[in-house]
Amino acid sequence: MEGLGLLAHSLLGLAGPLHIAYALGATLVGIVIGILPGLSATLGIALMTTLTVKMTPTDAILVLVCVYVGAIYGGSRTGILLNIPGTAANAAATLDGHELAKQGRAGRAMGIATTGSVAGSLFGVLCLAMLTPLLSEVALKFQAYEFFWLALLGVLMSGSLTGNDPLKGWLMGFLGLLTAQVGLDGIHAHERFTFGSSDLTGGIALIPALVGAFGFAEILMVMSEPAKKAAINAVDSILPRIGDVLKYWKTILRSGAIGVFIGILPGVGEDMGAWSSYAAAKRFSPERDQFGKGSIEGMLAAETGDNAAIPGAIIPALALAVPGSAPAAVLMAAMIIHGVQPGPMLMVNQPQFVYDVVAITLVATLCMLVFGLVMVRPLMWVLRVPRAIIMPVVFVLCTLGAYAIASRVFDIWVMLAVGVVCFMLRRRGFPVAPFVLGIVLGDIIDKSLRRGLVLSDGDLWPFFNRPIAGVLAAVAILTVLAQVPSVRRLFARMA
Amino acid sequence: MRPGPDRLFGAGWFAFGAAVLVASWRMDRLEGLHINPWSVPGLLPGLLGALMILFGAALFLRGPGANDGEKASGTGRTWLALVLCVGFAAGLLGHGLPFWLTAAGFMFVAILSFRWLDREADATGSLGRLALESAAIAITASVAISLLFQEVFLVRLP
Repeated sequence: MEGLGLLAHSLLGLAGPLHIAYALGATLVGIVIGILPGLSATLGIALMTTLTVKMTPTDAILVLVCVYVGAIYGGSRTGILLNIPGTAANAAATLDGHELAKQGRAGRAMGIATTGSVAGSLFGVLCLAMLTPLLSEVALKFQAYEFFWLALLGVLMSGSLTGNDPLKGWLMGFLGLLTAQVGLDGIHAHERFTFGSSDLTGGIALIPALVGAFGFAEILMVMSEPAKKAAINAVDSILPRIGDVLKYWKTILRSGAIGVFIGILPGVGEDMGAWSSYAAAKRFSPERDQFGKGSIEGMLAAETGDNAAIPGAIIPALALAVPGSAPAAVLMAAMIIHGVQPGPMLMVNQPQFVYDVVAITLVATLCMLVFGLVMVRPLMWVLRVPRAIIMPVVFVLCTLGAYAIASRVFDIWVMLAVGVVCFMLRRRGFPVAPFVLGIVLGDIIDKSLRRGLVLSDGDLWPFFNRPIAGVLAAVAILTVLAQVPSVRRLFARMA
Repeated sequence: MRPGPDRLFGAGWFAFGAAVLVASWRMDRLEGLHINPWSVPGLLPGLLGALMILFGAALFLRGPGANDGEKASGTGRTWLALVLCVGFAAGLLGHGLPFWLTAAGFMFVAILSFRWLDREADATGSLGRLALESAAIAITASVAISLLFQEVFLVRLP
C-alpha cells in the first residue's frame, strides 16, 4: 500500500504541463533517433544526458527514459520500410515487418509495432513497480563478494550474447573494465595509467567514451557504406487493432515475461529480449510456418519482447547498480551525475525516486501510444532525409555532447580515440556493448574485489562459499566454460 | 600462408594484455603507506591483463573466425569520413576560430562530399545546386546548434 501511495504521488508530480511537454518532446526525439539508422538508443540517451545536466534529477530522468522508450519503438519503422533495423533491438521485428511491407501492408506492420510496444512496455512497468523493491530487499544482504560476481557476470553475459563471438565480446568487456581503471583508484586515490597527464588523472569520463563508442564509431560505419535506395511507402491503416491483443494475448504475456526476464539479466539488453520472445512465439504458435513471411504474431512477439526489456533493464540498474542493457547503463550513469546513487540503498534512502522512475516509464509508454496513433505518417519524412546530411550534423552534436558536461577539449579527444578504436574493432566483429558495460561496472568490480579480499584477508573461499556468491560464481564460470568446444561436447553428451 | 585478421587481432590482444600486466606489476604497491596488501591499486588491472593474454592467445590459436573472410568495404569513404571528422574535432576546434564557422565549414564539406558520392541513390542534381543546398544546410544547422547549446543549455562553446 505504501508503494501505491508513492506511485500516486509520483504520477501527480508528472501531471503538470511542463512535464507533459518534456515527455512528449523527448519521446519524439527518441522516435526520430530510433528511426534514423545508425543512431542508437544508447547514443540518444548519452547525448541527451549532456543537455539535461542543469535539470532536476526527476526532470532529467523523465527526458532520458522517454528518449529510451521512443528510440526502441521508433527503430521498428526503419526495419519495416527499409529492411534495416533502426536499432539492434528491432532486428527480430524486421523479419516479418518488412515482409508485411512488401505485401503492401506497411501501415498494418506499424500498427502491430505500436500494439506490441505499448503492451510490452506496460507489462514491463508493472514488473518494474513490483520487482524493484523485492530485488532491493534481497540485495541488502549483498556484500563485496556478491557485487564482484554480479558485475563480472554482467560483463561476461553481455560479451556472450551481444555479438556473434563470445571470445571477442569478453575481450571487449575486459577492455571496458580496464578503461574504467584509468585515473585515481577508488580506494587509495592512487594514479593508474595516467602517464603523467593531468587530464587522465580525472579518468576517462563515461559520456565522451559512450558518444565515441556508439556515436562516432557508428557514423564511421554508416558513412563507409554506400547509400541505399529510398523506402517503401505505407499506404494502409497504421492504427493498432484491439483484435490483435485479444487474439494473441498469450503471446503478448509470454513475450512480456521473457522480455522483462532478459532485461533483468545484467548487460544483455533489448535485442536479446526481442529474439528470445520471437523464438518462443514461433515454437508455441500454430501459425509457425508464417514466421519470417509476414507473421503478425511474430512481429507482435518481437516488439513486445524488446519494449518489455526496457523496464526490465532498469530494474537491476535501480536495485543493484548493475544495468540490464547498454542504454540502461547510460541511464544509470545519468542518475549518478544527478546525485542519485542507484543500488540496494536507493529503496531505503530515496524510495520516492524509484516510484518516480516507474511513473516516468508509464508516461513514456503513453507518449509512445500518442505518437503511434497520430504521428506515424508525418515522422516518415525523417527516412527521406539523406544520411549524408544527417551524419555530419550528428557528428557535430557528438562533439559538443562529449565536450558539454565538463567543458574539456580533452573529452573530445577521448570521444575521437574511443570512436576510432571501436570502429576498427567492430569491423572485425568485436561488439561495443560489453565495452560500455565494462566502463560502467569497472569501479564496482575493482572496489568489490579489493574490499572482499581485505575482509577475508586474502582468502578466496568467501567468494565461493556464500550462497548467492556461489551461485553467481557458478553461472559466471559456466558462461565461459560453455563456450569451450570440448566442454560443450561434454554437456551435449550429458544431455 | 598469411595469418587471418583474427589471428593478428589475437596477437594484438596478447601483446596489449602483456603490457597491461607488466605495468600493473610495476605499479606502486603503496608499502610506505602501510596499506593492506590485498588492496594494492594494480590488482584488478593485473588480472585484466592476464585475462587479455589468455583470451588473446585463445583467439590467436582458434584460427579464422566468423568475420575473417570478410573484406572491409568502402575504404576510400572511411578515410574521407575519418579525415573530415578528426580534422574538425581535433584539428580545428579549440584553436580560436568561432565554433559556428568551424562547424559550418565541416558540415558543408562533409555533406557535399558524401551527397556527391551517394548521388545515384539520392537522385541529387548538379554539383552547383548540391553545393548551394549543402551550404544552406550547413550554415542553418551550425547556427541552430550553436544557439541551442550556448543560449539554451548555457554551454561555453569550444
